[in-house]
Amino acid sequence: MDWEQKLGELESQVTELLAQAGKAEDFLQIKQRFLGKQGEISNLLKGIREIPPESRPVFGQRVNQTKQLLEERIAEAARQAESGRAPGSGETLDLTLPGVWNPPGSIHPIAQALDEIREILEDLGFQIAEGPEIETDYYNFEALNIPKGHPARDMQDSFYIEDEIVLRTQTSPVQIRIMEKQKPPLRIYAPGHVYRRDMDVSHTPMFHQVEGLWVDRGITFSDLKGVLMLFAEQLFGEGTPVRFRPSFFPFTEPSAEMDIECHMCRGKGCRVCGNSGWLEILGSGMVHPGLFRRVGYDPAEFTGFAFGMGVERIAMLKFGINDIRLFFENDLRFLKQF
Amino acid sequence: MKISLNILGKFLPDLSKPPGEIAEALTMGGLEVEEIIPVRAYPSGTTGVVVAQVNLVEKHPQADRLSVCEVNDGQNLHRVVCGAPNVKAGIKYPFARIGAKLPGGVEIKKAKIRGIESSGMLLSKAELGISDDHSGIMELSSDAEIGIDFNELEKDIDVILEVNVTPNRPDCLNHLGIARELSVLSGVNFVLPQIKLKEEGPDILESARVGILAPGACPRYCGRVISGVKIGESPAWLKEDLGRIGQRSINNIVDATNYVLFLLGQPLHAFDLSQIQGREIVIRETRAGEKLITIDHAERELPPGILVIADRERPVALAGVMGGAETEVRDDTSEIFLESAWFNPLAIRQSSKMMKLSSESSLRFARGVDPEGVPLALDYAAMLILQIAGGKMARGMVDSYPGKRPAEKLSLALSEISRVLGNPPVKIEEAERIFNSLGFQPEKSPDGSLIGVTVPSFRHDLKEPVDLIEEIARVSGYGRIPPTWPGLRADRRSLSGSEKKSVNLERKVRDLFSSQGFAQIITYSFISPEENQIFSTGPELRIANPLSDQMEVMRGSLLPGLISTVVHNLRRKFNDLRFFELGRTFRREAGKGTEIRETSRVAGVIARVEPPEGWRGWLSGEFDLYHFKGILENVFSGLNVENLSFREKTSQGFEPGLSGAIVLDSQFEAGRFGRIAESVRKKYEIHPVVFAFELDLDTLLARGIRPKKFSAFPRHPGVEWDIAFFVNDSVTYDEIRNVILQSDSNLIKDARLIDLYRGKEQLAAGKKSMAFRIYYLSPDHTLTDEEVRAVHRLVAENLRQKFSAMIRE
Repeated sequence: MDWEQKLGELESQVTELLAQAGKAEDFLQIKQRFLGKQGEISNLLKGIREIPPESRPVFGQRVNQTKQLLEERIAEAARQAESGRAPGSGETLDLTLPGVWNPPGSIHPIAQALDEIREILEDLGFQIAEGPEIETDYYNFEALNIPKGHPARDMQDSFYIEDEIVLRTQTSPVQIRIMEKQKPPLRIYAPGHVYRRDMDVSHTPMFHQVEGLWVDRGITFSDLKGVLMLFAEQLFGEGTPVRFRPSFFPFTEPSAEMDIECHMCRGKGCRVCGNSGWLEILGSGMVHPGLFRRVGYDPAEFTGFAFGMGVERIAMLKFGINDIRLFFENDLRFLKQF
Repeated sequence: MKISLNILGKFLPDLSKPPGEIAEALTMGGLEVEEIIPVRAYPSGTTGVVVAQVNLVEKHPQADRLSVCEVNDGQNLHRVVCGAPNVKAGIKYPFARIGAKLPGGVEIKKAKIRGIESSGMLLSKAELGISDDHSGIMELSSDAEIGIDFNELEKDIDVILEVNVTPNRPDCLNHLGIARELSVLSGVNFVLPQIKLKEEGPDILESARVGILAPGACPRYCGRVISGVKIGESPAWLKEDLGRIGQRSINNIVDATNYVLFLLGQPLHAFDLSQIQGREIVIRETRAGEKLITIDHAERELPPGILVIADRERPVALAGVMGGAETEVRDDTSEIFLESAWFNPLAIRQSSKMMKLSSESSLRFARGVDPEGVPLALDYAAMLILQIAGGKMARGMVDSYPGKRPAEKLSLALSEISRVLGNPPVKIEEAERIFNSLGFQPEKSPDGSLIGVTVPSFRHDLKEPVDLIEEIARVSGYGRIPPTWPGLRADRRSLSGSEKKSVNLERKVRDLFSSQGFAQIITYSFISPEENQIFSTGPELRIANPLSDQMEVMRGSLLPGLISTVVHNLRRKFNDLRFFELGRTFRREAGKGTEIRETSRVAGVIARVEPPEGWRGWLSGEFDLYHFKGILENVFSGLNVENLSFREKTSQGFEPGLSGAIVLDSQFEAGRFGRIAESVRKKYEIHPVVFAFELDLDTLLARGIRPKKFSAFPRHPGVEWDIAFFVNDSVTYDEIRNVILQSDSNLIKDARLIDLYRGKEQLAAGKKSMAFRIYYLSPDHTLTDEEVRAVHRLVAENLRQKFSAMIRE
């Protein structure tokens, strides 16, 4: 077969193959078969010695022309095939298909609410403090003005490990532990698990609290109001109306409950706020002098305020969760929403 | 505590504020009103129905079951024939005049009934459309005004306030106390109800004698005797009032004592005096072996030392807690001994706790009632009983008061008020006014710097000056105290750097795991002992009073909670489960008796149903231990923990050979990881393979976290050369890699495993083939091939010598 004929044949072979090719690898294969180092064109060129010397320039020119032509044809066909096709897949491109991904995890809503509370408190200069979850009767009760038989113990039926060892019913024992260790000025907050022997639609036997304490010379109830109003505004939005009303905690005097205006009804009264227009957010008060005496602070020199809040309650309000038990069921249908 | 505004009116005759304002005043004064419940009048679609009183009732001459009544409707007297069995003279009923229309369109016309003309009709609730009760005509309250339209009654006839009384204010667990507070908070005039009593017959000492043998537990005991009482139903108003505040009517005597309890806050008890042996009442502590059948008909063994009311022979009541069945008022009782006492709160708390019994009475005694109010309540109850049950009252009252104490005095320095409350300072006149309104009888010191008060006998909560400051703040209103923002006076020195660090670590760990697809969970710290044993060894930490046997021990590991969560979610058909929890675990410190150790940990699990779902699984191929380990390594690298190694070690609950320990600095165990044991999966009926880890954050924080340090890198390029070899299967990756790295710690920067196979035909048994890619880099110049070749040869030589490796060319 003479080389002219051979070149023509290669050309028509390529044309035929390109008509059948679709996938990118098809084009690659064709390119390799004809234009690769061991390809048909290269093989043809290797036969140059058998060509009479006078014909060699023509031969070289023609082969190169054909090579260029084939290159262009293959590239053009590949371009055409590719437009409207996923590269390399041979499938039609559908950009609406979901990406291949590692399904994301989630952070528990309680942890998220805690983060928010923590950030606000840290901005207000409060520093973290921690205490054990298994407490002695002394720190959990006695030191907080709740002696044995005190009626306030009725409010918090507790879990006991043994006689004097109790699962803390509040984060307030941390107040005592810190004050025992350190002299004022003191500005701390203490987050953590607390336990009460109560389990029904609105109570879980374990929940989370955050406690705050600020002790110094000259701290007043006015300061308590100012700082907690600032806290509420940051947590629930600027301009959130708040009110303070008298309440009772054995370890504060005067004691105050802080309410924010119900965000559902804007104070008009609805089911969420029990028609009162207000939502209870935290308990607070001026540290009772009895606590200071117990830790060796002079109540005539120092004053301070303390506050405590339930994280579940705040998370429920913020996320619109209506059942506290969901927090501890750990159902993915719940967790994945956060 | 349910408070009726109608009953409050007895003490506050001028109270006319709307309920909402009353509630607001109480709430802002510290008595939170949780609910305002209007007691609604009858809905009705009537016209021409009025309140009328029946003056006379006679039998119908022609019909046994009918009566002929004379009815006064405020305008005329009407003769009305009535078929209701309950019609009585002197009672008010809704009356339909001629022409009146009833619901359903019935019009009342004159009618002759068995020969007697009836001009109008007395109505039942059913006829009024109020309820389906047609058993009789509807009795109206005696204070309903005759002649007014029935529709006028449709206003709120009462409002009940649900008041949350804090434990420090037992004086407010009744209407008197709430009224007193409301008077202070809103300035409405307060009056005590008048008591008029007629004493007849013999002196009380002829009917009963009282002896207190336990004056500590019973500082005051009062009593009266009424004979000739008729036990029966209470009048409608009393039943109605009790019903509104949530109390059931029993009989007139019991209702009267109950009513006084909720009215004045003083628990009372009525004994059938004929059942009191020897007519002797002894207040004493129990002796060994005594028993009592209480009014709930339970026979109770009484532990010694409990305060009881006894007669000559036996205990007849648990003092302050519950009466006895044998001496309770019965239908045939005619002579009663009415008790009103002040028991020591501690004594009542103790017996209530020991007997596991509490009541409205014990609740109040345990918190403290008013010792000076004891006789007043007794007389009020006596008056009520005489009024509704008849009888005659013996002359005199027993009042034994061995525990009388002088009133408490407190004094408050004026300067203290602003030291606690802030500015503006409270004026002494303001403080005096508030203390006066509270009945504290304030007295100024001559220089006006101190104010002394006498604590009223009903205020057991006022113990020190700061309590008086709260009274001032509370009465003048917390809202009147201006908010201030203290400067940053408390210094910002770090209180405890380690706590801050551990919180930050937890947060970082949390973010790393959640970005690896793990959902954070929070589970209870208490689990069942069976669950606890699966992953923990050592003595368990039991709760003495658990809620259930599923919550009996404090967890020694976070893993049981995670496994339960896997089970819960597998049931809900989720098939790629990744959870982690941050929390504490608990154990007794070995050898230290009762010392309890709390450890902060993070643990996680992965349970995947294979093959993963999705149009292209994100991770195709079976998920195995190395994938899991890769996730952990990823997290450790995010935490900048580099000094760790994984060692084969089987720990409780994990599959032997497929689990290990996480070790820091080759010696400190910080955690465990691996596949959960087959047996555990079987127990929980978990089908997919489960991988888990548990890490001790305290150890990690102390030993593992290193601050990040930048190290300068050379600007000239390094080269990568591969080395492949056969080696004994028992030689570990770590050992080999270390030998490679140590061959020239100056030039070799890294060695990565790029190929590993074993068990193929061309390999001798017990051998594996490995290939490492070694990264060569000089700190100061571009390496030549010769330099690299020399080191590479040394690596090969070392592998040959140390592990008898066969280098593949």
